[in-house]
Amino acid sequence: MDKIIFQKLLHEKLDTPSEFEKVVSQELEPRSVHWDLRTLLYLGIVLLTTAFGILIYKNIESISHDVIIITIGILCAGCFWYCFKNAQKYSHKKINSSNIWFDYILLLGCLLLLTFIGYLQFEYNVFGNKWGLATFIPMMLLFMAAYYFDHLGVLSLAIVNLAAWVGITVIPLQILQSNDFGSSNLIYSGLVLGAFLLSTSFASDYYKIKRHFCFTYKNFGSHILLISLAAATFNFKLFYLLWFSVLFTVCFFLYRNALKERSFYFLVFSILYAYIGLCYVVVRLLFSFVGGAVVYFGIFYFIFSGIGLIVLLIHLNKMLKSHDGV
Amino acid sequence: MTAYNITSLQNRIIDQQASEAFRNACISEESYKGILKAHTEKLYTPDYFVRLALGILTLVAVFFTTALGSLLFYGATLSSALTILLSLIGFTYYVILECLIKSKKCYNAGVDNVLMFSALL
Repeated sequence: MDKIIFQKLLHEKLDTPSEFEKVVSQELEPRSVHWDLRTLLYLGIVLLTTAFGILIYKNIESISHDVIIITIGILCAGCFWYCFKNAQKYSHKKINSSNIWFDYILLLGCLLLLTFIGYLQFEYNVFGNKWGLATFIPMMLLFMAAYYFDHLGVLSLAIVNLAAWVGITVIPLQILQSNDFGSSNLIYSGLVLGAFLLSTSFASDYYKIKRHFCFTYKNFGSHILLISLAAATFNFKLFYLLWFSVLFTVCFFLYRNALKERSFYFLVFSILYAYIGLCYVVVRLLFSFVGGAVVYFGIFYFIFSGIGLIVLLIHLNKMLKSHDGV
Repeated sequence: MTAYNITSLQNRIIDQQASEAFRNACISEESYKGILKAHTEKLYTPDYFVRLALGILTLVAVFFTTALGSLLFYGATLSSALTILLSLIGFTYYVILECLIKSKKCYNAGVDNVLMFSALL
């Protein structure tokens, strides 16, 4: 806080001398490094598990598989033992961690669990050819851990595993590269998965079971469902208008929900997904005509639709902001 | 020539400082409301997601406007046709940016950032 500004406000009689003194003393107080430490702890856990993996990979010939698997198993069991010992009683409402280390040890335990099961399958072929089981079992364990210990990070891991079990990669930076959205099986899987996650979000909210999980379910569910619907619009040439109408309906539903919950995030991306689908339909319709004027129509469409959406977003943003108080 | 109103920018800084002081319980609600009332600013800066979306949409409009301009100048025999085209387009974006700032009071709204860079480029 700038002392000069508050001196000016004091001179204008907009704050009192005692308030000015409080501002000055606030500047001299130590700053909280709570969030910096938490970020470093999360980073530390991720780097530790990564380093563990690299160490094993580089020394795989000198360390026996049994030693590695036993070490990972003991560490994982130790983490879960600590979590069970310090866990609060289960509740449908949000539970606060018993201490600062709890969340990180739980996350470490879950990451080691995934490594443990993956290693068992890869090295000892425990599940045989049933690869689905190798993703199903950790997924179920992660969901149980997320609900029992109330951890959003573990829930996200569980949802990613669910998507992997279905056959989809949902990691944000790889969602478009790693999935073959030309495959109709993948599109249908994505539709079912997205719809399931969205329904779970609304059910959680309706039945008041871990309502703070709703955003995570809705976030994953909406993106998976809308990307699958967009892929269906692009790939299913015969019925692209039908798929576009479904995409538009889902976007409209999410848009209305976003307005009700006053969420800019869902408002923006529901509009953007609908716009992408609309652009595809318009371009496809234009390509069915022949002539040089088609190019100009296309360019004018993009210019004016872009401007129209900018005006709409500004209007919606001002409308939502005007209801906010001090 | 400054595009943004200096008083509005100063009032914004004062309001932000007052918000921080109020959050840290250094000033009362009455003082906070008094400061906001005395230093009103009408600059429009939306949420981060809206800013991103506005920036992307402006980029689309800018890209196709440049494409339209290129099409109009396509086949021109003048060697400096490209320079003239880009200068005209850059000037158009600058004029639109000035109009947006004056009428809609956009400040770091995504639209003005993209238009500013497009005009510079």
